Amino acid sequence: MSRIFIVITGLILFPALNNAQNLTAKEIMIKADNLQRGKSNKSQMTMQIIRPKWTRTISMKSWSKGKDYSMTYILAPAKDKGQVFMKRKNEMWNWVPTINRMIKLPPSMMSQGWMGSDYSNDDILKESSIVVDYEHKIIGEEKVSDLDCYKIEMIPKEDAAVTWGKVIKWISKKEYWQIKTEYYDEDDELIRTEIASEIKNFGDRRLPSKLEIIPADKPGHKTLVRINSATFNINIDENFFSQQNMKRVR
Amino acid sequence: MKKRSIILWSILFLVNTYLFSQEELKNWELSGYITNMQTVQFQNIDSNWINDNLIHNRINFTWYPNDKWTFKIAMRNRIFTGESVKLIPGYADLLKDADQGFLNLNRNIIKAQSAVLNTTIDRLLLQYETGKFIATIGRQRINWGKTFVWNPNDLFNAYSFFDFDYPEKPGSDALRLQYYTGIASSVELAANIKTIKNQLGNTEENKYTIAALWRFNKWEYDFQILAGYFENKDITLGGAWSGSVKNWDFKGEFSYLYPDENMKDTSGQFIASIYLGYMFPNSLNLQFEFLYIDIPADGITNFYQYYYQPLSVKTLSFTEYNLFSQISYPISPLLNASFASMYYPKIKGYYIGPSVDYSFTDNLYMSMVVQSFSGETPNPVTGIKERNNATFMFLRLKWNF
Repeated sequence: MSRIFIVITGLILFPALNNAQNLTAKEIMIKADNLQRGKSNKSQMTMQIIRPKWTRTISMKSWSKGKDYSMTYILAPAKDKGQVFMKRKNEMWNWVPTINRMIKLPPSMMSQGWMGSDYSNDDILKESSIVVDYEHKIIGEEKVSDLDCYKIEMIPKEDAAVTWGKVIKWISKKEYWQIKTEYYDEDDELIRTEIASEIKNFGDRRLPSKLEIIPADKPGHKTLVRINSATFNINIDENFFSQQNMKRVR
Repeated sequence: MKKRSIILWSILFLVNTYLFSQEELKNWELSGYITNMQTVQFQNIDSNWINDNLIHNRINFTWYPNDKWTFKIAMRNRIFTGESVKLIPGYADLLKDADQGFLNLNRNIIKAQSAVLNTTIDRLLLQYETGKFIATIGRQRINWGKTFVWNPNDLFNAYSFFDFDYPEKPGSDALRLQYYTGIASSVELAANIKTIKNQLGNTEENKYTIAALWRFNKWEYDFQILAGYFENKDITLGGAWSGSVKNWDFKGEFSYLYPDENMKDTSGQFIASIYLGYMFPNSLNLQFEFLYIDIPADGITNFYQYYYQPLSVKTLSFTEYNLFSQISYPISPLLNASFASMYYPKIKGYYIGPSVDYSFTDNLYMSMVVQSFSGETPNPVTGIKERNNATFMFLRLKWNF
């Protein structure tokens, strides 16, 4: 109930907040989140898992609507091409076309590294929301990559399905890009850092197209996500996210 | 000048869009793999070792002429060489017998004393989809299973868990009609013809199965209920679920088959499997499965038959109680290790299957798999129970495209 209320309030407030001064931490987060995700989007991205001695590449297409619905189609590697993952609210399925089987995935799969990367299923399928699942506080202003940023501390709410103890985000003041994010565990130890760069045009908006995910204390390890294309606020119905469509998309 | 550059840019833009949309709308897909697998098998470590090699190529081709129609063909080409080919009489014929399709899509292109080149088309289908309705005709896989190892609901194309080198599993010559009634719910009707062949005896027998399935989603669980008539003989009822308890993956399937000829006696066969799985945050994966199956009086009791014979749901195992467990762990994103085991209390038997998979590049993989069995079975001549062992070791290199 309260979740829905917050999201709706956020959406209603959003246009009115343009150019407003003295935004609260939550308002900034809503703007950043809306910019990044839109009400819905379709995108194609490539993920590189980089280790000191090797790299592996995964590429995928995805569709999402709000935080409740998403579908991901694997384009590469060849071994996994055609596999589809779908999330609807709390449920997740995996379509494996080679054996023609629909597999219902358990919640314990959610926090797994996505196909061996530093990204988790949660990141891909957007289980938690940076707006709804945290309490936000502006703890400073800093320059990151030459951009003036708000530094915002995010503490997960007690009932939220979040594995982190604390998250700190640097959000650019003018454009609301999520330039840098630090994830801490419950003992306040830094686990990973994300750095966004290479701003590009994606239809109606400009966004960072490159995201580096760097796990702490693992030198030479990182995961590189590149958004190759993205379209926002596409006309996509909730019924798009169906088992029938999992077998059709490509 | 300005005009010209505008035109030039427009052309470039158009070409670009054209190429992009070509990419987007490519109406066919080609994929597959090539493997080279070396196998060693022996009964006991100091008994005779049998060496075999298999070169295996798979090709999948799909064509989407338009939104409604899909055509799919997939074939496996396998070159068998080695001692089994030489020592087992009629090895090439057995490969043909293993194909239970009604359509004759299995050829031994080369049939030499020590080598066989076998080509099988295991998918050949035409699909029509309009709105919520899908019709598929031809050789296809109708996968009604939910659990991991044994699938009592898999009426159309049961498979052997041990056949790890065939992840696609056999297809079935069938007609399938599906209608989606919701996001995760559908009704379907399927019918197939299976031809049990015996090249040596030169006999063929057709078996028909028809069944209806209803899938629905409730309480965040997927459920299914099925009813049908199985292989000219058995009235079949079954069901399955798939969901989770806490963070555990929880799935199950059951089927009950009874011959329509003698409905009054108690010759029905009950088959059920239950699966539990758990994945730890570090990706350590635990999987357990239990199978119960009524063994008919004329059922297989010999392990070798079970290992080699193409299965039907009625012969998912050769013993009533079966326990499976598997632990797997990605030691690194490149290296995955797993250890599977099964326990068959009735024959004091077990199976152990350690395996390792390693990724050399994005598309090149190596696997090492061991399958070792032991159990007490009656000697076919004397009838006295004796312990039988069998071990298979596989080393496989696989390139996907």
